Amino acid sequence: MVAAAYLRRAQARVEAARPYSEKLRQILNSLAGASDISHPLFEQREVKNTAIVMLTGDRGLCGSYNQNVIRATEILLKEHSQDEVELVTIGKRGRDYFRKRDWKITAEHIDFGGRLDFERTQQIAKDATEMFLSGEVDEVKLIYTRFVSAVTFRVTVADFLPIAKPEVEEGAASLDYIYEPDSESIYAEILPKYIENMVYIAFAESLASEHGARMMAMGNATKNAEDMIDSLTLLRNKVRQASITNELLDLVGGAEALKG
Amino acid sequence: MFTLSIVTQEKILLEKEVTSVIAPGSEGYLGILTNHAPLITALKAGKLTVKEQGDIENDYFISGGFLEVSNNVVTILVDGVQEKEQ
Repeated sequence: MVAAAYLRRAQARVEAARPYSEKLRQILNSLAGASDISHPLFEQREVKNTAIVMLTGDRGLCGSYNQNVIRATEILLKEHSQDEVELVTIGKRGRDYFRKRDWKITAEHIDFGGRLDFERTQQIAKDATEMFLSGEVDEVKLIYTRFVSAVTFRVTVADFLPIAKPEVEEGAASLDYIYEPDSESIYAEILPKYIENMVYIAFAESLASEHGARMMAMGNATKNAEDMIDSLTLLRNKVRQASITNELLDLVGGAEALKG
Repeated sequence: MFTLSIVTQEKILLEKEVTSVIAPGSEGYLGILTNHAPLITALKAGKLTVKEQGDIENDYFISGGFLEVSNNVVTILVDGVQEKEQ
């Protein structure tokens, strides 16, 4: 089971990526508690143009994995008119599907070879941030497949940009941090990292889901083939037996006739 | 002694008890010893020196990130890191 080996590795990477994002969120939360800061990336604008970043795989043969993401994307697309929405497709399957249709594809990223590529996810995050900050789009949504367990995957539509303001937890009196140089500059540095990390995590989860889905699809295919082999073997033996019986009957019939 | 963890986006690179850390803060190099006050700072590219008990010293080159100190736990989030060849 090749997919099973891939899955294990992908799963390990999802777990390895978690400490970073948890820590990042924690720092962000304590920053939010420290001062009321506004940053362009938090800015809620009236939504005219939307960008949708969708994550599919490069390859098929993985059950309904790609289909599910495509379907979720279509549902979201239908809420907008054609000139108000643009797509960023990641993975060949999504691109091939939407290329034949009338939606505008701004960017496509393909050929990941089933591998997690930090530099490319970083680039995708940068491009999306650029689109948002330049005012080209007023919101960015991210559609990916969340890896719940080796057999459960959930297509998730996440509000990517603007960033949801971190909740300030009441009572959880965060430590009285010293900020160096000051909280504003840390904000400015940490937010791009946060976005990069979001894309990275989404990509890692999608990959793990893809491998999981492929493993299941391949497992089912193997099982179905085995069932079919069983029933065909049975049929062959039956036919063979029937023809032998017929020949025997002919022989016996012939011998009886000669005797008479 | 305090706990230091160096975390990259991809994995936890290091997690152990150390005696001091010298990091390239955005305002200049800063040293951290046990019982440091809570601190969050941005890091720029530079050399990160980690000292363990028994005068073991390790250098890393980092390309920027963040450092957080709270209750004798130091977490360093780095973008890219390279361990120095001894």
